[in-house]
Amino acid sequence: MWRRASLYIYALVAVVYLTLPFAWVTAVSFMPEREVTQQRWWPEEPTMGNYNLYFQVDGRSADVGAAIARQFPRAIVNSLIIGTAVMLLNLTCGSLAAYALARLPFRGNLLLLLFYLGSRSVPGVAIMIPMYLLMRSYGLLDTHLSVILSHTTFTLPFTIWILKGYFQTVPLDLERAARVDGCTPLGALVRVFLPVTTPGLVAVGIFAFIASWGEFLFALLFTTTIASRPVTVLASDFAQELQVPFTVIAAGGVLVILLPLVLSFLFQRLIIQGIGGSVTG
Amino acid sequence: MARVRLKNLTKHFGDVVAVDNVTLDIADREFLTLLGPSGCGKTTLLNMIAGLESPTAGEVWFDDWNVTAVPPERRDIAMVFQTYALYPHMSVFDNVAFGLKMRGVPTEDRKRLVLEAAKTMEIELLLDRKPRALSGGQRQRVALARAIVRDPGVFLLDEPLSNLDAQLRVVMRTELKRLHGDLEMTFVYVTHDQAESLILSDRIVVMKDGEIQQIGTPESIYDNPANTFVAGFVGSPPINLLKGVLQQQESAAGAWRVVGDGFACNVSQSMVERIEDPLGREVFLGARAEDIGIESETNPEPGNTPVARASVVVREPMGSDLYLTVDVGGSNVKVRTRPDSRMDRGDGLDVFFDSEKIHLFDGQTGVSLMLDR
Repeated sequence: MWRRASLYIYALVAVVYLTLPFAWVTAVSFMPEREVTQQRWWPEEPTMGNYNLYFQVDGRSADVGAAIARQFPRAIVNSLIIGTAVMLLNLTCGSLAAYALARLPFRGNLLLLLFYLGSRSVPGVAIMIPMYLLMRSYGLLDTHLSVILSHTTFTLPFTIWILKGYFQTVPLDLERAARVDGCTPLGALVRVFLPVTTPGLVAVGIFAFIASWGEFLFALLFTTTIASRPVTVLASDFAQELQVPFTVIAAGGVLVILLPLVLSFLFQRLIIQGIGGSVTG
Repeated sequence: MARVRLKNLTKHFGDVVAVDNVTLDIADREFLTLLGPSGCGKTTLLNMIAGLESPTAGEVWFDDWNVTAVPPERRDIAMVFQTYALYPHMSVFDNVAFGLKMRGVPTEDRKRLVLEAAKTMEIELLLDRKPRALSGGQRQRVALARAIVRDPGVFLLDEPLSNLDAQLRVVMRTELKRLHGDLEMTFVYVTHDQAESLILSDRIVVMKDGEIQQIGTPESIYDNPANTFVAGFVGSPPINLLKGVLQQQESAAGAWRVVGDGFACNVSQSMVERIEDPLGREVFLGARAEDIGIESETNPEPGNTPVARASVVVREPMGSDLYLTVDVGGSNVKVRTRPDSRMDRGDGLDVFFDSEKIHLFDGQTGVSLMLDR
């Protein structure tokens, strides 16, 4: 009884702790500017005005921060392009690498796996300058590709590790049955193995996407114009301009969070199944 | 339909020799069982017939076709796995139809063949379900349907019954035997269950440590085991083995006996004649539980003297039979007797061996001394 009750209390505290900041930012984004200064928790006269600024509905170009806000749609598209590319790269390279590590015995596979893990423990700041020089020498600065590649370097090891563990739970007999039923090795991978491992693939795909979406450091370093700037970097511009209304910033924050939030909700069942679950024949 | 020939087949995994120089000729439409304890190489051998494992040395032939280097998808085989290995993302219908689809069978024919196979395996009502919604027995039937639907030349089964509960296993065993009778395919069946192998097979191949111990019909393997391993592995309860020495009696016209701790068993002259250097030879005396009599319950022939005086250690009633474990000179011997026997723990009794049915094995190598040299 008490065990159960304390569990519920703990869950409640966790939920409040995690969701309250989001809830408040969302609430503020619907407030007129003066309500924030009155330290309200809930908008009394809700307005879409802050969002309108981002989508140029009423053309209030004179507002402080409007110049930045107007670039938001483009930045979101940049983030989408980068995130989707990172996700696809993770899925193709990650699933093939994880399949090899899970199924094919080859010399040094453990070493390779540990190398991936080790590369994950290097802080991004430590390789910032070499990465910058590398991107510059290939002429990739201020392109989507520079951000895509840098994001893939730190998401891919994680993807490979998770997928390798997940792939190992797939009974070997499934692929053998597919081979006997007439599939080539690649056919067995495509027709039986990958469909069976969909939850795991969806999970790591979304993780990679969200990680890329939220990344700031490399994106800031490699991008200079709105041609390639993702939304996280653009949002930081608000800090450089004085007196941008807090309500406008909050609306920007909501726009940035929205997509990852929707993705996690849509696929939460698959994500949990993919990370913690296993495949049975 | 296919005859399967294995020529000097060998498989190494690193330093481990899983299959050691196996040569085997499996006749068309035969039901052949590979029998042995786990790790004896029987599944590896089956995988090499399927093409799922490539041999380190040796060849696999289907009729006049050397398939050694042919990948499994191009061999004319079907396989049933211990775990069934149904595709979890497909319905039962799609599971059964998958092999046909991969071989480019047109949709109409596919449907007809799947329904036929489903009818044979009595799973017509399950075709829309996903594998996870099936019971163990139903999954087994789907796995069999998936294998028979393609009408393969060779049908490979890897311990297909071992994940079923005891009752269902008996039902499916009968089903398999019926299937073999109906289908006229070559069956290669892997099991560690000696009862299954005796019931199902035309011939049994007993394996141990990657080597063939004996090949023969169930009767010949049971009645004339080639060595102590086969004798002990096939038959339930396992054969009783007693260590002793061959001796010739000075009285009784030079009759031969095996003498060991607490027992002395007569050996017929015809048996002794098959043995090289019989005098003083160390042997294992083998006697199955049903070939041993106790006291007045068997009718000892005139002049038949008891092999030993023993005492009952354990009494195990089995319904139709009663098994007694008796102590003979410090060794346990299992005896089958009538269920109405009153013998119980601590009772003393005389033990008789049927001298026509005893087995003699070499005391060192365990090889049978009874087989024709």
